[in-house]
Amino acid sequence: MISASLTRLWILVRRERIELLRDRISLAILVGLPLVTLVLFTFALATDVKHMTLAVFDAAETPRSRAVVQAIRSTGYFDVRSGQSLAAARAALAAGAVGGALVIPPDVEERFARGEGAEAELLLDGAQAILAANAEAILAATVAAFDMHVRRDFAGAVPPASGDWPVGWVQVVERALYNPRLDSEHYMIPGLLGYIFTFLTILVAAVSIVRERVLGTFEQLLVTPVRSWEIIAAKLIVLAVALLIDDAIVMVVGGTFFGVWPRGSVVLLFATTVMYLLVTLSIGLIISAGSRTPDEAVQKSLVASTPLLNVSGLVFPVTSMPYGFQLFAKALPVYHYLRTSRAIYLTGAGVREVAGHLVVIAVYLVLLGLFLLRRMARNRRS
Amino acid sequence: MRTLATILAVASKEWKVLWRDHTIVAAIVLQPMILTVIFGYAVRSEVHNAQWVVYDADRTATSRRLVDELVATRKLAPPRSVTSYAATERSLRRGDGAVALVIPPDFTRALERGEPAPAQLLLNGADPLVALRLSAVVREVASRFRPDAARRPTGDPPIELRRTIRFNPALADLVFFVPTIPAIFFTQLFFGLACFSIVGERERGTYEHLLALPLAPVAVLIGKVLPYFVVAYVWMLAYYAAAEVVFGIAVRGSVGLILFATLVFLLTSYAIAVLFSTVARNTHQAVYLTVFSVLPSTVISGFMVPTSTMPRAIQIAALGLPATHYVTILRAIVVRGAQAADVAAPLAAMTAILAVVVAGVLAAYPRRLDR
Repeated sequence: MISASLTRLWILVRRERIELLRDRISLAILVGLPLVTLVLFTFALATDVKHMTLAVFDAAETPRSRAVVQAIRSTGYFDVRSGQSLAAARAALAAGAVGGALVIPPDVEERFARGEGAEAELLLDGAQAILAANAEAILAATVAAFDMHVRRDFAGAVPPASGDWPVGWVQVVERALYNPRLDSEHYMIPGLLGYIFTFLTILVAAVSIVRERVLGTFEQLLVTPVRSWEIIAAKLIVLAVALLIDDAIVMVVGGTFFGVWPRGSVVLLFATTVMYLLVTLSIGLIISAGSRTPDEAVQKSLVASTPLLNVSGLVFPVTSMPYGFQLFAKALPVYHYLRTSRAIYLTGAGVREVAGHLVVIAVYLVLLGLFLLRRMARNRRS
Repeated sequence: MRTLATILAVASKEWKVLWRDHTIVAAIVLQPMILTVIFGYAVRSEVHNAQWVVYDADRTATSRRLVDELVATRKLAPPRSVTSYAATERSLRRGDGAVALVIPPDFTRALERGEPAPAQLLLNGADPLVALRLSAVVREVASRFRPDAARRPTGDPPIELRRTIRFNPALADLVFFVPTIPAIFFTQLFFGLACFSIVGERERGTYEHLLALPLAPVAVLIGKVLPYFVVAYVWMLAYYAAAEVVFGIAVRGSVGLILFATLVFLLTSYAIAVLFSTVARNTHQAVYLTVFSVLPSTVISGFMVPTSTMPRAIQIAALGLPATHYVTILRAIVVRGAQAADVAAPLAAMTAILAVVVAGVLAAYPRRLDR
């Protein structure tokens, strides 16, 4: 009984494999898409400030103001371009020639000596919100660090009446773990696995059954003695194997070209990926079983994957979202897969650290699997 | 005159097909709503109420006040407290926070002696965007911090950064996303529907009926797309009206200019879809070709992240996508109130892409079925 079932399953797997390998375009895209997304995401979705041109107009021209400029330059994030006037800095910004402009007023030194604060003006292009906010964060941090030196240098000069400076100050020492330069590549490449295994997987699976239905081969399959679950299992197995090859490709290319290798266990990563793949393939097959035409299936999978991809923390942090959306994100399997994949890649997390996420994915797998089986059984009767 | 009548006949046939299909109607209604809700409300790159971890080995009123002042910025949520350095690192590894602040035992004493009091800030590299922003928040708060709350400085810190941010003073992400959502929606709608409608008809055999009509293929193609243009325009006007009411994002520039740019964009998208439909032999392949073009249109067109951050090669590749120019135009007109002269260059580029694609279609479009 069981062996007969296994034989049938094996035959179906072979059928699916032949079907998949026969279609050149589909095959090319199954391999090509992950590579294209790898390049696009890693380069194009970089939210880190790299070589942003910053026009600096230093009107003070004192050793200290030059030191501020030097401190900004040595962060390595900006290409500093010296400006000659406030108007020139503003014009360069409006023309889009620079990403930001910093203006240091002429009287900084005198104001320091009087124990007053000085104001430096920072102009940023708000149309580029993410980038501007990141640049602001770096500059603010640099200037705040510089404050400490000024405070120390002028500690004696400050009139005691102010009752302020003779006491100590907080010195923040930073240490970045797991990703010393806070590069976004390290964040994007493990996230990319989540993207491919959500978008591509749902889509490929969504088209699979409906396409056979259009071609009429699905009816032929249904009149043979194969069981519903065997048809599903065969499709799942072949697609899962193909996508696992994609997983390996992305990991090798990401490691070779971007130097981002998983720090944790590759076996754990693969195991999680298999579980997650089965979840998304099931979503795709459920869509497929309920669609009459391929375009219907594609539209449905686009609608289904939009929230999965954008509310999951793939690019934008979940913690910044309104509370309701955070709850929604945490209810999605992709959130948990992303957390797991990033934890394994970046922090080298083990099973214990990601156990909670694995449980959620497993629950989804069971629920969707049962739903899919019932759906197929109903399909068959009608 | 007769051609016009037949074009309208094809259009009315396509119109009925469009509305008969409930899933496609649902997709047209749902997809832009989902996109708008997500990019209008959910997606925020600005940091707010972020999770973090504190290891306070000093445990004095002063050290607690430092934590309180950080929470008071509202950029950080009330922290999770841990009791050892090892636990701090474990906590970051589990992903409990984007940063962790370690306050050493002699923190308050150093401050009171008038010495620098070191506090360590651990940045979680697994969450670089948030970690970077929070590091600035912590440094700024720390630079103002005094051990004695009563002797808080009245004056400014030595150097105050006064930020002036042009066009989008609050750096709100929705000002970045909301104006350009039509670009993404139209790309998905047109590449998807238009491409499938042609390939699907060919697969079902109804395309033969159309070709058998006494019509030039161009008339068939125009007729087929008219309903989608109507849907696109009605939707877009409603969308910008809603954007003003709901998000307070009014179109600063000329609406007529947007409508014209949209026409060029829709034509270009449709031409690309037609070109794909001549290449794809079945819907299966059409699906992949569509995905292959929708993906870069969302990722490298500048919709999600400004193109200026991308490497040169990708910037050049992005110029080949009509969506890149359309996103530029929409953002310029809606956010900055740009005039026709300001958007002439992207408009010209889009027209050039249209010309190239149309030439390609004319060369490849099968008039006969046996090709």
